[in-house]
Amino acid sequence: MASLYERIGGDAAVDAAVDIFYRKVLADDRISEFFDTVDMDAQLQKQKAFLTMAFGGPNSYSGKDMREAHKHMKLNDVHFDAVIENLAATLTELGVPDAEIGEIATIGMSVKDDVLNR
Amino acid sequence: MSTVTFENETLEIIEGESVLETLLDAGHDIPYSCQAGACHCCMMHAVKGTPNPESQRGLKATQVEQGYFLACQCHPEEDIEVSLETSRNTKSAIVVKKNVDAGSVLKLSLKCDLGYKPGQFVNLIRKDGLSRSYSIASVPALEDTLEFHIRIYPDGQFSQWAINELNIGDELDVEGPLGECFYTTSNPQQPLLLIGTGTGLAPLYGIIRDAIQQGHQGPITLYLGARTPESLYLQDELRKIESEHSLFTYKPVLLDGNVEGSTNGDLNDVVKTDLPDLNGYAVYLCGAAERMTNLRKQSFLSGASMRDIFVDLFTPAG
Repeated sequence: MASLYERIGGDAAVDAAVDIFYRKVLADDRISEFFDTVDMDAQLQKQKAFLTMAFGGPNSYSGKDMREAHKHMKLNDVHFDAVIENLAATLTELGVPDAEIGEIATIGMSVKDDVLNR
Repeated sequence: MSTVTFENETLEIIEGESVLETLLDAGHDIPYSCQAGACHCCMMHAVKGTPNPESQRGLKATQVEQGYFLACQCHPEEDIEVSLETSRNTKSAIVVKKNVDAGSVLKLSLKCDLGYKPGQFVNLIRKDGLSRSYSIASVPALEDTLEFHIRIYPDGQFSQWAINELNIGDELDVEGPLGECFYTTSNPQQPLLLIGTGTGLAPLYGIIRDAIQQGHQGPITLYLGARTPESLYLQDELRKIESEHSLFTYKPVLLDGNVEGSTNGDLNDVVKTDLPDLNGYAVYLCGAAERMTNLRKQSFLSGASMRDIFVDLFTPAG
């Protein structure tokens, strides 16, 4: 069976999702402050890397990187859940089947402890 | 077997390996992350040779045109020379024309053998090293000189020198071209929205005429923000393009006073009201840094793809 990343369309799926996802987090008052930056191009690339990871694609994220990148941001469950919600809403908008959305959400959830520094 | 040259070292690319893997194996420190063409961390610049099309997927059309590619997706069919930075050339230029428009903008034309895209910028360098960035308003297919619009600041070191002491026939150095704010023929039907303040009009004037000259077919709309009619320049030229090309619309936005077709109000608000949905647009933003940064976010939230938003931020250097 093809991998999750291949099934949902690989880097083309990441390209399709990133603008929608970025717009959603910028519009979400719970988390917009973490994404609202002057250098939007750099922010977009970070989100592409995140989506590639969440879609089960090749990536070199380690738990340590995740911890390091987020530990000064004072994040809690509300922030984390908001990102997962926006991710799921993005995938629904793109017509990704529920089964794949579930798989992607599971991958997203797997980094929760690292992101929240627990 | 093809080769890759980086920092004067030529390496053979083993069958099935990418340019990134080849360079990493040889001990070069190239930034990378996903190795899947998604994160763009390993973006490099082809100095010689052509990267394969797969290595340019997902890049902005302006990046493709300048030879940028993703090293992790790059399996070139021919020998290629690459760098991490765009190479900067410095060329000598001669002043061939200077005149003042609307009392506050010096239009400077230089003779210089420089390949460029209208809308890119260069550093103009005085012989003692004083240097300022200016965008290119000319179009190579239409003009054989480089044209710059220099805002004259009362205490601006470069602009005061340029207006008072720089003469026809004088030499100065031009470093560049730089920047990714220019037109590409990737989608001739795409509606173009250009928004500028001050001499942000210089690159936009180049981009508009370049697009028309290259046969662009979608609508082209220019919003120009200014305090009063007196602070607008290049008006005859813009009206002329408007009368000659029905696809071009010029919309001045003024805080005070009126000119033909103008709206009163805040530039960002007027654009938002006129064009609430920018899905499918290419957006070019040139001018005051803070306003253009806000307009980038506004344009993105209005539906323009990040890949289709091109920004040139102007910051006075004193």
